[in-house]
Amino acid sequence: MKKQQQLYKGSLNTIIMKLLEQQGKMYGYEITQKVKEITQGEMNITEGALYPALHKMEADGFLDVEMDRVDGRIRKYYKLTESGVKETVSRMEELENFIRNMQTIVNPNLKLDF
Amino acid sequence: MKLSAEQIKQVDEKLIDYGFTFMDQRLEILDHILCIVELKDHNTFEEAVTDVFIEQHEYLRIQKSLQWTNVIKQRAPLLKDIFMNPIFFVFWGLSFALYLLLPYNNYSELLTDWDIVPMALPIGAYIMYAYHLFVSKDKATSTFGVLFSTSFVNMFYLYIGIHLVRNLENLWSIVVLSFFTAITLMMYYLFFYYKSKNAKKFKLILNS
Repeated sequence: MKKQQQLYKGSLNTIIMKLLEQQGKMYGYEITQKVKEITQGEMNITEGALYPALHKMEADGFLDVEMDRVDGRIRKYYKLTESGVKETVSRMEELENFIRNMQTIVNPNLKLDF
Repeated sequence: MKLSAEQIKQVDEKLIDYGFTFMDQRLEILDHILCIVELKDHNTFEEAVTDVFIEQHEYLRIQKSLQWTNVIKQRAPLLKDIFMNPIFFVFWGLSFALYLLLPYNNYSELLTDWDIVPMALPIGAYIMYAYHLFVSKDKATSTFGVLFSTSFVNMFYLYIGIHLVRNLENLWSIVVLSFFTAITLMMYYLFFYYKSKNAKKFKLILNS
C-alpha cells in the first residue's frame, strides 16, 4: 500500500484538479473524503500533502479561493480558474497517455478505451 | 456532533497555543480540525478534540513548519504597491524638499552626512514588523510581503544606489537619494496599510 501511494504522488495535482472540475468548488477535507469514497478507501490523500498542493496551485493561478461561513466558522473553498481549467485538460491528456503507455508495457493484450 | 460557537473558539485558541498565529492560515486548519471533531462519537467534546489533535499531529506539524515558508514567499507587488502609489510620490517630494532645506554649502557635504538615511531608516520598521510577527495572534501573512519587497530595494541601494548617489554629486544625487528614502518610508506606511486592510478583511469574513 505504501508503494502504491508513491505512484499516486506524482498525480496528486491532477487528481485535485479533476475533482474540482467535476464538483465546481470543494474544501480541503471534502477532497480527502471524496478521493477515499471514489477509490473505496484504496487511495488516501494525506492532509500534509493536500494543503501544500492546494496552496501551490493557488499561487500558480490555477485555483481561486472563496471563503464562506459554514456552521459558525469560515470555510475556504477552492475552485478552478480559467487557466486552471485549461491546465486540467492538458494534465488529464498527459495522465491518460501515461496510463496508456504503462498499460502497453505491463499488459500489451489489454486495450484501454479512453 | 454539532459544535457551538464557544467550542469552536476553544479549538481556535488551542491552535493559537499550538503556534498558529497567522489568521489566514489558521482559518483553514480550524475548519479541517473541526470537520474531523464533528465526526467523532466520543462522550465529551474535550475528549474528541484531544484525540483529533493527537491523530492529526503530523498534519499540524507540517502546517506549522510551512507557516514561515509562506511568510517568506510573500511579495508585495513593487510596481503597484510602491511605485504607482500616490503616497510614494508625496514621500519622494517631501524627502527631496527636506534634503534641499538642510543647511549645507554643497551637495558633497550633504551626501557625506545623509546618504546613509535609506539604510538607517528601515531599522524602526524592522523592529515594528518583528514585534507584530512575534506578538500578534491574528496577523496575516500578506502583511509581511512589503517587508521583503522593500528590503530587496534597500539591498539594491546598499550595493548600487549609494555609489550612484555619491558619484553624481549634483541635484540628481538628491533626486535619487530622496527616491530611496521614499521607498524606506513606504515600509512604514504599507505596514499600517496592510495591517488595517487585512484586519478589515478578516473582520468582514468572520462577521459575514
